[in-house]
Amino acid sequence: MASRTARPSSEVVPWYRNVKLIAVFAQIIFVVIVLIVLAILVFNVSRGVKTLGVRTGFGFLADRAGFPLSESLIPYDQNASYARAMLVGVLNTLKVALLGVVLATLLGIMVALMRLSNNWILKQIATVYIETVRNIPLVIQIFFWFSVLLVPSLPSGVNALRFGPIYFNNSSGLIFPWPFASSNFRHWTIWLILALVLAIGVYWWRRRTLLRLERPGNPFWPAAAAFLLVAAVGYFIALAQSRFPENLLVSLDADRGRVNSVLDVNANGTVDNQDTPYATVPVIVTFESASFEVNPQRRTEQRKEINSAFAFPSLRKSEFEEARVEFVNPDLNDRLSVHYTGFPTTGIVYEDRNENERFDAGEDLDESTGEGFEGNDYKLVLFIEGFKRRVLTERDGETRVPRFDSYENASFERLGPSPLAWSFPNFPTDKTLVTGGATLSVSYLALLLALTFYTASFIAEIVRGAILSVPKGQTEASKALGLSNNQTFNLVVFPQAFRIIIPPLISQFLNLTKNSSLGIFCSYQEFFAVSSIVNNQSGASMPIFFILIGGYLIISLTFSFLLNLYNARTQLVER
Amino acid sequence: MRKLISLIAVLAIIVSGTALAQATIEQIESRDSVICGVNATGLPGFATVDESGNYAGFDVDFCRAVAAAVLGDASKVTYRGLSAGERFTALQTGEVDVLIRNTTWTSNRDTALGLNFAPTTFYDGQGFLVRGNSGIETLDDLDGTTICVQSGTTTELNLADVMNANGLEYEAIINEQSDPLLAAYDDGACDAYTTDKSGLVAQRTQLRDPSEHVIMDATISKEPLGPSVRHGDDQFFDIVKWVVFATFAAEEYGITSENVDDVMISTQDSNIKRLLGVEPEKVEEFGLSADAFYQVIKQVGNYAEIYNRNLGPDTPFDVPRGLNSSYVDGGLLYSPPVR
Ligand SMILES: N[C@@H](CCC(=O)N[C@@H](CS)C(=O)NCC(=O)O)C(=O)O
Repeated sequence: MASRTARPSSEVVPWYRNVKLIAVFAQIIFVVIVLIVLAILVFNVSRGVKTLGVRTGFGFLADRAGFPLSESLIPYDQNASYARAMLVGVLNTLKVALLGVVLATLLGIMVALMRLSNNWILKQIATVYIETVRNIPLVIQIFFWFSVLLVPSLPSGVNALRFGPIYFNNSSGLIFPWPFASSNFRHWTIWLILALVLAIGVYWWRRRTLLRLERPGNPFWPAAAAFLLVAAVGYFIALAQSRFPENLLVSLDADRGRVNSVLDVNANGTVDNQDTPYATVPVIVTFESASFEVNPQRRTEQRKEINSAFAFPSLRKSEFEEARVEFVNPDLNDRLSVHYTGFPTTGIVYEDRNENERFDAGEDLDESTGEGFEGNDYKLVLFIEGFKRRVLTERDGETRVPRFDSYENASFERLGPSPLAWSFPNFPTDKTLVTGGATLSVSYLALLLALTFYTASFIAEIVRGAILSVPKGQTEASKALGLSNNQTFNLVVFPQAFRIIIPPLISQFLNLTKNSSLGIFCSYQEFFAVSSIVNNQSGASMPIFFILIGGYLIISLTFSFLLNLYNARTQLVER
Repeated sequence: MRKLISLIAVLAIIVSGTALAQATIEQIESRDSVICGVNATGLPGFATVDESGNYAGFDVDFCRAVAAAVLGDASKVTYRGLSAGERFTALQTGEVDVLIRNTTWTSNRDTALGLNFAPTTFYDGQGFLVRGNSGIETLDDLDGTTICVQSGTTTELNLADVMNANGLEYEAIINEQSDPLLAAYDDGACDAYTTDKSGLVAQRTQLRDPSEHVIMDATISKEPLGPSVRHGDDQFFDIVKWVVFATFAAEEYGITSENVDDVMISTQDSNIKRLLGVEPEKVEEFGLSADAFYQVIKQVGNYAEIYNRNLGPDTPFDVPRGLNSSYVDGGLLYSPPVR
């Protein structure tokens, strides 16, 4: 009997035992199976599609969308195509994902450091935060931020919270001043490019110098300083070159409360349909005097209640010279008085029973008991003298100004052109639509906060694990060399931990991006939400499904490609 | 996520290519139940669920009518609550047999979405709900407002068109579900909430203080609401169509659930005899048993009974019949002859 191990080398291995051949065969069989499955799928899909009468093909993308979307980074209205609506969705996804990863990383690092610190309270806060947030499903957190916290607790409409020129309410969200690029921006672009090139140059030069001198330091700051300097000088030169077009036509329609700016294409001197909108023209609107009426009583269909608190549209102190609130019926001025809680637009109507010319408790109408002054059918009017407001026309060449109930001598003045035109929130006079400035909607904030807090709880643990994985000896050695605590962390521990952090961090970034598809639960119109609207209106479920898969794949792959490039650069080069 | 799941379900069904091989009527008979898609969160008056899981409402009664005709028992209905965004996918995939969920008949849904609409059971129109003290009374007053609107509906399309046509500026707050929108409106995040007027009447009752809100007079669209089935099954489509017609006809001939047995014996009118299956041929042509429409009237009632039970003067909604009256009373409800 021949030994099993000592096979003569001349013996030919049968083909079915040849490892190389088997490998090739296995691959071929696998490919064949995949092809067969694919063929069955394609056959069935086309048959199923025929029976159902469901739309296939991507032709529908060019059709008119017909529906509104509440926020968009590019011009969009219901006359745009389905494709454009989906693009709005993609951009909204990126808008929440990009800021989300930055905030989540910062918060994550902060929480990790808190958890590692020797301060007992900080440590406990961090632990509780991580353990709770990480274990509550994200949908619930989104619901919490949107439907439990932000929408019910923020003031609504014209009662917005106000911090200087910044407003915050539950209809529009956070509204703040913002510089928009005007058509004169092009004069500045060359300077910006120059500044960028210079900054990159400074960065490299500074980095090399620091390396050569073997000195710690960050090359970023000198680079940033160089950028800002060139950009600032460039801005003033661009400002001097800025011009408005010859045929720019600006007009004020005080009755409708609008300012229009158009290019008078047919040169007839009036605004008409043929003229093209021209955006970002700064205008100061003036009303010599004007007035609003409000009815502070809560009128309801069946019953009427009297409520003594009143609120006029918000005005900024700097916008008017004088203002006063009076009763429309002059007889009431003797009996009732007005106490301002926010001059001149909010306050309380009261009856000065003890005649001290001051509002005291109990002199207003007590809503719960109905006590106080009774049965007065009153209306208030706000008189304003010398009202002035600076506005900026928007993308459609239009912007709103207060629409007063009555006014005298309304006029406007066009301000000079500039590369960047500042737009201030033009807070509405009665209803809730805000024009001007930039807005972060409540939906966006809710989704951003939920994604940030949720993802940060995972990132914190990644960072903590990485820091703990740096051998203790490294710290001890640094201490022995006389480095301070800060130096030890910044120069020795964190750079080593960083390499370990990056790969799992990338997958957290991707998670956050994909989780943004839950925006549908807080009325945020991201890619998935828009796709499902399009699906519903067009009935093209098959193509939309593939667009969704493809879209998220492209977003994720791009993200991970870029981050992996960075990862490759930060890893140790081993020899 | 239900949205995604139903989207995947379409794919699965299309891919497997099965489910649709069988006629709807056979599927209903073999499972002994009609699966009916109704409003998910509950639209008072049209479809609501109580604590013990019983459904009631105007739309629900038409589900029951279909079951009475096909299975002879109005209680053999399995209800599926569907949001505006889920409903069409659910019907296309065969998750429901028939969709009776305040759904507007439009050309696009009839063609591109692959639906077949039975006769309209409720002629409606889109309106706006606003706060009584807001000073908003006409369409023009909606300039510069924020408006809450549900996506995946005709509502959002009408809103965009009408505001644009009137040169009114507005901002839409959009959600696929109506509950968060209604809550947002209640919290003052929108100046107005818009949907079908029937929906406004119903949803106003769910607000914190319904009396503070008014429905504006303006009607901006035509919303004929009715049952729909999917393309590709003519027999079932015919049945659903004629179940609705039977309720119209019964009102026209004065047949009610109370008197149907007497009428059946006493009647000399051959129109009524054919409808109730005293002369069986015409009903049997549907592939149903001769008493199918008799069962509809006996167990569910004629159109007037269904209407009054759910929306009539004795309910909190008290919606005037208006266009939803029989043609003999100047309305639009008109049944072709059973013959
Ligand atoms: N009739 C319109 C609108 C139907 C609709 O979805 N209406 C809303 C408001 S009445 C609704 O039923 N919401 C309840 C829900 O989605 O749960 C359509 O068919 O598109």
